[in-house]
Amino acid sequence: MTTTPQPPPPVEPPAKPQAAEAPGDFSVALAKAVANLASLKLTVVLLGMSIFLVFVGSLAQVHMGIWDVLDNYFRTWLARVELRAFNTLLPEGYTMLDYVLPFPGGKTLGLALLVNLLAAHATRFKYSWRKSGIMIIHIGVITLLLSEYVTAGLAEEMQVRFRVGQTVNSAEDIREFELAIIDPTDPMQDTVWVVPESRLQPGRTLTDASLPVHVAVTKLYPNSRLKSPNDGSGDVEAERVPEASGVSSNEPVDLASAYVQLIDPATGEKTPPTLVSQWFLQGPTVMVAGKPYRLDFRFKRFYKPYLIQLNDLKHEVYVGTNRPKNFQSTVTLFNPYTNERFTQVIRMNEPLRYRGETFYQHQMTAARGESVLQVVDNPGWLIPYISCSLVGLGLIVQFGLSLTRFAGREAKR
Amino acid sequence: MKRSTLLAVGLALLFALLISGRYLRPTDYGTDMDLDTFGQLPVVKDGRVKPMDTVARNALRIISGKKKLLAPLDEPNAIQKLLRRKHESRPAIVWLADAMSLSDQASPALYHETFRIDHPEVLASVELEPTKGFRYPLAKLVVHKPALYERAHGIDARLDRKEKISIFERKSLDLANRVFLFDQLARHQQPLLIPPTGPGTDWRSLMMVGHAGPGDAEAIGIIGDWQKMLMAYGEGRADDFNQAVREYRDKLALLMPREAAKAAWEAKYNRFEPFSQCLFFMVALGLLALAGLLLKKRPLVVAANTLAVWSVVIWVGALVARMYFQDRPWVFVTNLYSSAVFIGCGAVLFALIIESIYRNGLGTLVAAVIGFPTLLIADYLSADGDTMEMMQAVLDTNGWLATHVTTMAIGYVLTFFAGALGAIYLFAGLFSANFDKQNQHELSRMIYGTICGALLFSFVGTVLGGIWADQSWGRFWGWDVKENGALIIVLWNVLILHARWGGLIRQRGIALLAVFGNAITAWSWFGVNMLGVGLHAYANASGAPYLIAFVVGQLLIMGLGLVPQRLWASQRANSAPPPLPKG
Repeated sequence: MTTTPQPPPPVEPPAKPQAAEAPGDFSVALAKAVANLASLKLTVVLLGMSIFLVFVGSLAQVHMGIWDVLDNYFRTWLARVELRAFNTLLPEGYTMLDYVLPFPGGKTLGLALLVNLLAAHATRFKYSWRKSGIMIIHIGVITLLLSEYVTAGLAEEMQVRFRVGQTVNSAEDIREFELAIIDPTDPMQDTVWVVPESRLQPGRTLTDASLPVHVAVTKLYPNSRLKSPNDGSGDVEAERVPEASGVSSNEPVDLASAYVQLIDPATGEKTPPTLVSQWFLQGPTVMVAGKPYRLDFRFKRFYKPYLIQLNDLKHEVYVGTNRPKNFQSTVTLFNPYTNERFTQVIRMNEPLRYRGETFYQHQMTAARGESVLQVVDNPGWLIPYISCSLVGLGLIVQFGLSLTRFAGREAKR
Repeated sequence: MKRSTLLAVGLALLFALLISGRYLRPTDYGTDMDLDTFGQLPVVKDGRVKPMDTVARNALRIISGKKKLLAPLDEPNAIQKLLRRKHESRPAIVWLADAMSLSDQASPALYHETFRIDHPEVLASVELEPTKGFRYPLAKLVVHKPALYERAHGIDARLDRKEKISIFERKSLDLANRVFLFDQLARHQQPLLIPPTGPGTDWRSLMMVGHAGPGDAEAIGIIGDWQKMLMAYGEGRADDFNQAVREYRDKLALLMPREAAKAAWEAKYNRFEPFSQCLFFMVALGLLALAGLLLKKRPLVVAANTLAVWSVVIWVGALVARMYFQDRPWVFVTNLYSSAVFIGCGAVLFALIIESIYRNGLGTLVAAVIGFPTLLIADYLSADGDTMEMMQAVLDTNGWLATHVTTMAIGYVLTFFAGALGAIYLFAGLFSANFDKQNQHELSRMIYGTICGALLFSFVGTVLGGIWADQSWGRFWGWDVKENGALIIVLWNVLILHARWGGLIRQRGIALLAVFGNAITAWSWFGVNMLGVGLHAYANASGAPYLIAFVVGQLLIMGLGLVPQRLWASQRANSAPPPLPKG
């Protein structure tokens, strides 16, 4: 543990190409630009800015849900630093002005660090045994940075919510909603059209050839509650409430509502605005041109090529307390396409991995026999393992080399 | 070995033996009752099997803020008269035994001045006048209990609705909770006294066994044992009490030999108070090392080192004992309290390693500079109750606790260590003419090497945390505040190293930045937990002012370090004669 190596002599600023004497020469200017890009000063500045961003991104979580923080600070090119994030640090009664400062976002800083690192290797680094550790570290850092882009771009997080005995073939993304237009006329099977959240905008009319009807959205509340006006009609109305947009176990989930009108594409005839809401167990049915359509407003749904059944669940606490000791769900997974069938226990720290998806025990309401599994599909999940092994190995090699040199010198003394 | 060195080691050992020996003496309970054995009986509180002694200490600490009971002195002896002592301290188990055997209006439990109430409005609400020490007996609170509980209900409901509450309300709620805790102890609802008596049974309270009805003869027999003990105690029949306690102890030793032995050891561990001892030694060795450095007297440093070795032995022993009590081999850190005692221990160990290489006393000084405050912090944190609490389901995996958490904590140790060395560099440079080029160079190298180690451990620790998160939540990195805190430490150490390699900073720069590393580590260790968000929100924010003061302190040290170097005592002294190499 005694890593006390000698600091290497400060690296001289990268050898500047003899550019100054021949201005105007394109290749020299380029070399100079690359040299600047590769400079350690830039590294230090970028690291400092990253630290600041990570710090603010932590403070912001006090007044913002984690997913908003991701969108606003880390998984974005331009972060909007809200000064009110610093209110947490101030004594009670003091607040910062409600300003927003632009700042390079996580994507920008990550990319800049990546460029800086690659440029350094292209220009400045001389490859030698003494530097082998640093090389390995840097390769690991590069892949680690890339993996966060992969996760940001490709990973899907879903949830499966079911009760003991129930079998499901889909998972939901509780951060997004969708409008399902269901034609129940065929008693054997429903025909379902789905409109994603991104296409539902208030004031817009959706006219897609693949839909049986046109859809006009008159009002849309991303988070809402229902109330009944005291006029004796028994109707319900939706009203907007602030969004919570969190996914951690104790944060509430947004439940959206909207008023939509269906339009007969042939005649242009409009139905009156109908309330659709995630609060409804089953959506209202609307007649268009004599055909019934049920409008289900629900979380974005992913259908799976397999069935998963909740057989049993267990919620244990420490004796004499309410502190949870163990949550576990026993599930049976059946894939009709491959005829696979197996039963497995999922508990904290022991997920089920199946075909690139991982099922984690997420929440449980034992009294209702309900269990919630978090389902994650992250094609890049292995990358951080590899890159971190590389960085760890590189650190050990680098400091190990320094340490042996140090020990050698001490022995000579 | 030189005679002065031998003498220093010998005197330091003698001193250490005297101090530690004090904790091995039999305890004075002020009664003939065998409270020693009573304190070793295993019971369950907060989900863990522990001795009565631990229950007593934790509960008394929560209720009174003190670890011991202050009993009024009836007949003070000569020294006590001289010091005008009106109270003497008694072990917490005396208070618990009194509380559990409370039977009528005359029971002493009602008259112990234990309830600390320091908020003037809360005092007024229970019709009490401020007194010295702000501690009041339950007898004066009894009539106000219904009103107190009712108010607490209202405040609880508001907290459930996530409304803000005032300080008065927080303190009232706190008082109600403490009175309730006493009630639970006095009514034998807590701790759970009845051990499992057969398959399918778990630990139960007296009442739970009563509800179960007849049939469990063994459990009913144990109820009888407890009644015998508590009645004998309440009626002051020492011989009967002692006999009943010993009989029950022997019964449990047959019924559950492992738990009974463990509880007995834990009670002995409590009495030894290893961390209080270490706290004392940290002060002593810090002063010795500082004096040795300032006066350039090597034997003083040797004595300090001897004390450091002595305290590390006690310290490591205490950490190992805690693993045994919790049944968690190799898990050093399970909560903030244990992280504090671990970090202190790590710092002292690392200091000894550094000292064995450089032999200049600086390492020993740092041992005290880090060891002392971490133990103070630990003591502050232990006011919340049991320091060996059971872990939430998701955290309950020994493998990850042993690897990720320990590595992370070592990363903290090294970052703090580099910071302390940095501060010493700046202070010595500013104020000491003895701090020559050679010393500066050597200290700077120590800082640099420590930062390298800090980077290694904090990086590996962070990554292990990522792997754990991937295993249990399905993502390697979730930008959770604690994860971010760890990342900031890694980035900061990376920044220092790159700034050094780029020639942007030299000796003084590296010391300045290392000092700021203290602030960053404190933020990641405590600050992020105080935000009350995310997956690691397991601390309250009551320590926030201390954290802010600490960060401001680091900034002040950095400000001192920014004084132009031509004004530094070391520079002015060294610009004249060339330094002689140390021999």
